[in-house]
Amino acid sequence: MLTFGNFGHVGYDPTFLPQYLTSRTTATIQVESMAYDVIDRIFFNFLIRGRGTLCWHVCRKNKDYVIKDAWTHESRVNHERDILTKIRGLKGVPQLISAWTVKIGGADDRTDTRRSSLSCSSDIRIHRRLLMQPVGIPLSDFSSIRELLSVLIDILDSK
Amino acid sequence: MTLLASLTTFTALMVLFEQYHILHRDVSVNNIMISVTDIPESEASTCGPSRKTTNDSPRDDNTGDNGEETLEEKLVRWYRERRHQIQSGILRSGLLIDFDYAADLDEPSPMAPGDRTVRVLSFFLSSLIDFH
Repeated sequence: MLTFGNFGHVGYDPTFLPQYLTSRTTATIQVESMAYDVIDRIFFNFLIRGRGTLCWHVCRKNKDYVIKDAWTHESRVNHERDILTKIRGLKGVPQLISAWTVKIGGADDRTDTRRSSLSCSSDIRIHRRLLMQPVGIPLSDFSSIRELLSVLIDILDSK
Repeated sequence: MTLLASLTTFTALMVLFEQYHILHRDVSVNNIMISVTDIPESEASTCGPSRKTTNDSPRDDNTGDNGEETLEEKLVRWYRERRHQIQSGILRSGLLIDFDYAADLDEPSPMAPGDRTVRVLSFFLSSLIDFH
């Protein structure tokens, strides 16, 4: 029966479509009403318990973006969004394009609705996506010592 | 003091703190990235090098001009050369990411479970800002 189930009912995230279900050449991730083409997964970690943060390099209409997908604790749902909104325009930090609570079937994607039996009321997490620019590359990919130092100076010395 | 002061800026971390009252609190190798975007042309004109547009190694012209360069002049020259190299794509610029742990000192900190550092620090730093 599972084989014939709806993509979402089987347990997949219907806002993240693998390539074989899209009409495009890549998988897509949804933020608000837009679908973004996945170029690469740029961050993930193996922790079983936690925010399950994933970062994706995505693209839409030839523009590159980063999507940070994380399960944020209920008490700090808008924390990072608020900080990024406050520092919008500052050089050398991510520029927030939009912040979205993942919605599945019209409802917010939360741990207490997905796993009501396992859910602990003090640890409810909300599935959030932040769309940001620009896309960075790891510091370890510096092309010269001069560049490495310059990047560090940028963080320590930027206008 | 004059010329240098016009060029010297606070660190990104200091701008975050002094101007926005935000502490990043999670600066690490993983959270410093290399950005591939360019600095807009408009800014290129304000701090573009006047004379040293050639890509000669900066070490070569140390003894040019009037023979002796003060530390201040050196810093200004290095700053301009670096800016110029970023603008012309020789160097890429830095990007500080992940503001998940950042603390906004203007907000009365809602204490996250298991996070007891925020309040103490906020209190301490707010006093520091007031004092300042």
